[in-house]
Order: sequence, then C-alpha cells, then structure tokens
Amino acid sequence: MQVQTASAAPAAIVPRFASSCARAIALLLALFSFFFAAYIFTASADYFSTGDTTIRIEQAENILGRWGPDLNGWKLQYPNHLKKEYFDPRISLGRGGKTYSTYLLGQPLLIIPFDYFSSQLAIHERWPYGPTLLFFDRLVGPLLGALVALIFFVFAVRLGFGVRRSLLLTLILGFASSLWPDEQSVLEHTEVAFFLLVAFYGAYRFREQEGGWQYLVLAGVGLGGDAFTRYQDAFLGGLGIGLYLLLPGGPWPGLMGRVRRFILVGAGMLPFLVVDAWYNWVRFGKPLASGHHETVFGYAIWKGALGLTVSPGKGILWYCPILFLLALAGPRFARRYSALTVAIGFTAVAWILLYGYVTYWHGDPAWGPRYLYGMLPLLILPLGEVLNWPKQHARSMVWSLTAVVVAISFAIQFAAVTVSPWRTWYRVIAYEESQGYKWQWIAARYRYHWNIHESPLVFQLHGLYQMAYDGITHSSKYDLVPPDEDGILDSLSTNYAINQWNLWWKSDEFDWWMGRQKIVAGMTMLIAIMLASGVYLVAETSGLLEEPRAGKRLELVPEAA
Amino acid sequence: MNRRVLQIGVFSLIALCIGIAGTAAVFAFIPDSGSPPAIFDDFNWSSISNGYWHVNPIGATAVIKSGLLTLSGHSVELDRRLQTDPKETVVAARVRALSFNKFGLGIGVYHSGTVGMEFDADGIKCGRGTDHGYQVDFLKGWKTPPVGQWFYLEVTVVNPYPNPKVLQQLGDISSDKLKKVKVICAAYDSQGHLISRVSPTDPPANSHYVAFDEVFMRTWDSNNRYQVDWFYAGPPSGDPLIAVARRAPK
Repeated sequence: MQVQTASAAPAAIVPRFASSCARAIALLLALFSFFFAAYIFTASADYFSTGDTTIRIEQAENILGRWGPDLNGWKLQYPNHLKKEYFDPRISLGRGGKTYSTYLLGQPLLIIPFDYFSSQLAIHERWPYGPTLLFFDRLVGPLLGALVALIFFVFAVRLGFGVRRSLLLTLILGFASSLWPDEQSVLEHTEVAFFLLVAFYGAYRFREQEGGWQYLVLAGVGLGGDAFTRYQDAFLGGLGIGLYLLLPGGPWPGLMGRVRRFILVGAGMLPFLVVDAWYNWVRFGKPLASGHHETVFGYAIWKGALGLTVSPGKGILWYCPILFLLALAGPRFARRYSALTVAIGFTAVAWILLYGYVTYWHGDPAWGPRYLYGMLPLLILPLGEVLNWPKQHARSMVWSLTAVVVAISFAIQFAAVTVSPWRTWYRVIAYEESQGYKWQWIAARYRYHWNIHESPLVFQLHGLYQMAYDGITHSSKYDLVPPDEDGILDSLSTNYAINQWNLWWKSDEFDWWMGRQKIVAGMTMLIAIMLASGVYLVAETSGLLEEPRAGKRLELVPEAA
Repeated sequence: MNRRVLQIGVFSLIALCIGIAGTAAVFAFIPDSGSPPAIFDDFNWSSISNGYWHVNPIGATAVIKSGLLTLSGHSVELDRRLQTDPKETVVAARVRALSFNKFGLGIGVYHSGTVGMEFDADGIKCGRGTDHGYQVDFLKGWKTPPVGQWFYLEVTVVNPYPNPKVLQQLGDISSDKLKKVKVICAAYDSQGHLISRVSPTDPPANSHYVAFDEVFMRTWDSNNRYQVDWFYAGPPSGDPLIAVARRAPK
C-alpha cells in the first residue's frame, strides 16, 4: 500500500491509487462498475417523469434516425393571447419554421448509444418499443452518476485523503448527497457535475501537483463539456477555474505564465465552443442565438439565494445536510489548499447568486434545488478532512457527529429515490387546494418554498414511512386517492405510480412489458456485479491483496496543521 | 487466517459473482415470447396476481372470485399487451355494474387509452382521441342505470393499411398525412340483441393502427362496483360475441 500523505506540501508527492498500474485500473473499474450497477438498480420506475429528458431523447432520436437537429413532427403553435410565461422555454421555432429544442447537444449525444442499443434490444426481446427505449435511454443518468463518482474518487485520492477514506467519501457523495436523486432524475446536472469536476481536477493537477500543460487542456475540456451541456454552468465554472489559475502559486508564474495557462484552457474548450456555435447556427440561424424567449433574470437575488440555500422547501442545506460538515472540514481544507478553497468557495457563491437572480431559480417541478447540483460534488470534496481528523483533536466526537449527519442525509436521499417525487407533488397540491388555492402548473406561482407545512422533504420522508407501513402490513391505508372530478390530482395518480415504490423492479409497471422473469434476471445480474466489485473494493482498500512485507508497517500520516 | 487463503477466498467470491452476473445476463438476453395475437380471459384463474394483467389500483380493488372479475372503489387500471391483427382488432367483454359510475375498456397505445367504450352512470359511450381532444358519442343514455344487468360491449378498430406493402410504398411521409383508424363501437343486451352501434367520424379518431399495443379495462372516480365475466381482444374471428350476438347487418 502506498504511503498516504496529507502533508503540508501536497505538490511534492502525488498520491497513488495502488501499487501497480494494472491494480489502479482494476480499482477504478471496480468503483465505476459498483456505482453504475447500484444506480441502475435504484433507477426510477417512472420514465415518464421530466419532460426535459423526453425532449432530449427526441433530440437524440432525430440525430440518430435522420441526422436532423429539429424535432420532426413537432408543431409549435401558441394562441395569440397566450402570455409569455406560458411559453415553453424548452422548445422554440427556428430555421425553416421548424421546431427545435433549446437544449444543447451534451446529454442527447450521450443518449444516442443507449437509444441505439435499446432499439435493437426491443426487437430482439420482443418488448414494446416505446417503454424499452424510454427506460434504457434514461440509463444515461446512472452512467453519468457513476462517472461523477469515479472522477470524484480520483480527485479525492489525489488530494491526499488516502484510498480508503476517498472510497468512503465517494460512498458518502454517492448515497448521502443529492447526487443520487439527481442521477435518478436523468436531468443534465449530473453531466454538469462530471465536467466541472474534470475541469477542477485538471486545474488542480496542473497547479498543485505540476502535472504538466496537458492538465490545463483537460481543464478546458471539462469547461467545454459544461458549455456543451449548460452555458450558464460553464460560465460559472469558468469563473472559478479562472480565479484558481490567477491566484499566486503553481508553475508558470508571472503575467505571461497566466496568459499561457488561459490559452491552454481555451484550447481545450475551443472544439466544444465551435460545435455549440455551429449548432446554434443550424437551429436558429446565428452562432450566438439560443432560442430562448423567456425572461431569465430579474428575481430578487437575496430572495433567490436564500430560497436555494435555507428555504424549507428548496434549501440545499436541508436536501443535503452533509454540507453542514463543511463548518468542520472547510477550515482544515483551506489550510492545505487555500487557492483551491477560494476557487471552490467563489464558484459556489457565484453559482448561488446567479441562480438566485434567475426568475425560475427553483427549477420546478423538480426535487430540491436542482440547479445547484452541478457544483455539489465540489463542496463535498473538502469533507474528506473530517474522515482524516487527527486523534488529538476529539476525533471520536467528530466521527460520531459525521456519522449522524451522514445517516440523516442518507435517509433523505433514500426517501427521494424510493418514493415517487410525484407522490410529494400530489400532497403539495392537495395541501394548496385545502387552503382554497386553485393549483396551476405555473412554477412562478408556487408558494410552497417557504412553508414548512408543505415542504417536499417532510412529505417525502413521511411518504417513505407510509409506503413502508403499507408494504409491511399489506394494507392500503396510505393510498393516495384523488377526489372525484379533480383533474390535476387524478392525472397525477394515474400518470405516475404514486402508490408504489419508485424502484423499477418494485413497480408493477415493468411486469407489463419486461416480464417478471426478465426483471429477476436483471436484478440478479446487477446485485452480482455490485457484490463482485464491492468485494474487490473492500479487499483492495483494506490491503488484503498486498503481499505481506517484512519490516515496519506503513501507516497513514495525518496532515500537518 | 492465512492471508493467502483469504486472497483465494476473495477472488473465488468475485469469480462466483461474475459467473452469476454472466448467467443472469444470458438468461435476460433470451428473447421474450412476445405479445400474443389474441387474449381471452374468463377469470377462472388468478390473472390479476400473476402478472398477466398489469394492475394499478388507486383506492380500489380488483378481485377474481367465482369466475368473475370485480372492480370496486375508485380507480383501477388493468392493461395487457397485445399484438394487433393485421386487418382488424376487436375488444369485447361481458360486463355488468352493481354500482354504476365510470368504467371503460378499449385498445390503446402504451399508457394512452386512445379508443374505447365507457359503461357509465349516464349511459354507454364510444370514445376516441381526436385532434380536438378526447370525444365521446352516446350509444345509449339512461337516467336510471340498469344495475345488475349484463351487457356485451364491443370495440372494433380497422387498419386503413392492411397491406404492409402499401404502407412501405408511401415511404417516409409525415405521420399526420397517414390515414387513421376506423372505429366501430357496439353494445348488446344480455340476450345478445344489438342496442346500438356507432362509427364516429365527427371528428374522426386520430390513432394510428400500428401504434396499438395494449388493451385495457379501467374504472375511475368513486363508488364503482363493476363485474366482468370475460374479456376478449384479438381478430374478429375469435370474438366470443359471434356465438352470442344477434347481429344486425353492418
């Protein structure tokens, strides 16, 4: 096992993953396999959810099937009297009067292999084409979630947290943070998170560990990937990376050194920006046209920022309580990596302020403050410090506190992935209707964000209890049954399986087209992969696979103050 | 324990798991038998609990007892995959209500009941999705619903392109230029006498025949108590109603 350094001079030694290249690859492969299998295992039964993903699937299918960037067969017509707020910002009229999605190519391109595979699989298995494609296309969420876990683990090891603690930290990220419900939702924020981590990792390796110019290009590729997925997130990530590379320290000092750094980052970004501009031109006739017609900015920043951070209905601190541990870990991390801490902190603050200014800051209907999920892994990285806490500073107390917070955070994520979020929406709407408010699916008019009585978190956790109660007692006590002639609640209860567990293999939705035997086979395969990769991870990180050595045993070296 | 033994144990366990995963993958890859060309259920076996029907109850129950399917309460939806006949597909059932409110059956696209009949507290209706939303035509209305009486309901959808070569010759044209299905709804009393038949065209159905892949029964809203004696979906040649109905000429 390598020496685990978390010393005051991290640039001096680059921590390694394993004693050989082959074992390092095996370790990373096992980690990726474990998360990919686990995320597929916990994939949602609800593949109708999030029309955003459905539109991206349409984009992918149009590109794959007819090399067309437009949405073939879609007719976009708005009545003249319709207010602007009713316009759908996800699609827009473009060249030739055709309908185009305003979404970028990032996620649709990743969906294409899944779409091709599932189209062949549906024919081979004689499954209905529609649900097969809808389900398998959505596996792009688990793929990106696993990729986030992978790059996060690599980053954590390189930060000097040690392989074992990095693995633990990655498990915390994977199952006790909003990454889990986020990848399950198959929205594009997981992809943003992945590319942002790549960008910061590249910049870190260049700056702190003198990895060479290629890491600057990698940082540019990361930012380019974000620009390929969400412009605004790439802009925010660019601010953070820019600051990080401007701050004193690292190779290539001086003004010209800084210029060289930015040129190389720009070189990494350039191909993505060119494709973005070309794609805009193809769709909307101009390289800088985005197709958006809604008012993006104008919300009171302080209100939006507070809503995103502490509101009972949307606050990131409640959706992901492990962030509270930053109070402990942050200062220690800052002592070791001051520039990186400043850059991450700056990115986070800029992120919150920018989205606080956005009129649809909440991103509804969605689980939690989804726009913040892209930068969440960056905020969790410093938590490795609490796992590395020195003995002389009340380690047992810190670890106990950490364990409690992680357990709470895990419970929230577990509720989010096992219970349909639409069950919670049903209860939010029922609450609003009980107050005499006529519900409309217009996000700007939602009132639940600041009312703890209708916080989705409370409903979701209560929903977990209700589902467990009904499951254990075989009752239907907590079945949600809409009142007669209530079209909104009725459509929620019939369009989404809100009275069933949200895991695909637990929902009877899949019996219908996949058949129970195939479900059992799929579950068996996934569990076996998780077991195989999990056993390997434990064996590798516990040192079991090392050959016994004579002499003094290598121990973890705590970092200097 | 000896480290070497432990290492062998770990690798054996990993190999075993990989073997299980591989076997499961091979098993999963064996093709499914596919959708049947016709289904008939006389509810003499437990077809709602063994996955034959996909059942989604919301404040309702579906029970099979004494050869009858009883749907009680609020909403319950039963779906079943079906391979349509190349020319014409019929959905038929023998139904009665012990408590009328809202019951429907029909044929549709996955999660979209696009063509169907309703057997409701205010009458028997023929429904279909159109370019102007879901529309219904009455076959028979009533002020006092006939509680307890058996009825036969039959929905027929006709493929406008029974010859696949014709469809191929059309090439890659926009789907809205293709001809839509013809819908025929008929209701018979317990003696098999035709009560009414309609083939709604104003506005016409907008469903595409090739898209149909499921049949369904469902109730919605409260106070339902419906019983189904048998359910058939498939080509007209297998329709049990042939033996029962005193058909008027089409």
